[in-house]
Amino acid sequence: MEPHEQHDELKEAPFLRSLPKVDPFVVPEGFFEGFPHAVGSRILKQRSKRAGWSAFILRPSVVGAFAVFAVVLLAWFAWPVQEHLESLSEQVIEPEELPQGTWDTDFLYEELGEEGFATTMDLPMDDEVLFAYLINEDLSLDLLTDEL
Amino acid sequence: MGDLSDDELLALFRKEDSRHYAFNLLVRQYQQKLYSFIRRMVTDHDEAQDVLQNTFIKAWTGLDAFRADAKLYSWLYRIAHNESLNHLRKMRRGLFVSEADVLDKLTTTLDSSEHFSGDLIQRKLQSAIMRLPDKQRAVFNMRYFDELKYEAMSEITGTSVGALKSSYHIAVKKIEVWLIQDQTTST
Repeated sequence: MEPHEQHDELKEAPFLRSLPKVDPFVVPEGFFEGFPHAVGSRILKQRSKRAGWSAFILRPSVVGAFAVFAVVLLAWFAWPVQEHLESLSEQVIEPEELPQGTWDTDFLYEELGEEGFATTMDLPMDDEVLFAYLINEDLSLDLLTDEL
Repeated sequence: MGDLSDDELLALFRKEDSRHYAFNLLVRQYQQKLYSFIRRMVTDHDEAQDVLQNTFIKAWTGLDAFRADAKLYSWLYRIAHNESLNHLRKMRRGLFVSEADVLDKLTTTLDSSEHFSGDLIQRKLQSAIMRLPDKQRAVFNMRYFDELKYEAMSEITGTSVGALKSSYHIAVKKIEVWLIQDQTTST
């Protein structure tokens, strides 16, 4: 404590300096006797809450449920179920897989979009050309017609 | 039993079998000083009790990590200071809470003889202190009532000694002016 320094600090405030320093707030009787106990109980309550949570986590049924969930999760990611499903949904039947003579030109035109097909091909095409085109989808039309 | 030193308290606290006993001693040793500071900040006894409990709960959880390079009292005081400011911040958080509402709430305690034993001039002084911004009020209370050194206050608030000195100087001037104004209007 620095009483002199404190006193000097108040020299510009004579009114404040003249007031006695008292603590005017009333504390209920017995408060400080009971307070340490109140804090102790709160700490114990918190600890038991935490301990309760740990006990819940470590219960065999909870541990079992977590284990089953973990196994299912692991299986889902490790097993190629997803891949298999994706492959099924994206499965494409290649034209060469179609039995010869069973496919319908009109149907294929319809599927490919007659107009679009006509503008890109812009050539009179018979069934053989169209079939070859479908087989060699990645090749240009010029190359196809040359080959044929 | 007399007060134990910081080192003795900490040594007891670190032993599992005397942990609760040591903490009980620590609470008994520091509760009154911390309560006085908190009460002057929040004014209401019940709220002061909550803030003081939170202070000691935080101390309980942080005491293991406490390094003895600081004083235990300063460390506890710092927690109490932060908790008080947090409490006051929460009071202001409501959508329709104005500064006047908060001041009103803080000064209500002063009107009840059950909670306030001071005379008229003490009531005026406390009302003037309530008008200071929270941080400045904390600085004023630490220096004026608790008579802490600026170095200790700096450790508690994390503010430089120079800034604390000027904050206290301004607070003293404001309070002096408000007290004189109040005297002249009431006469």
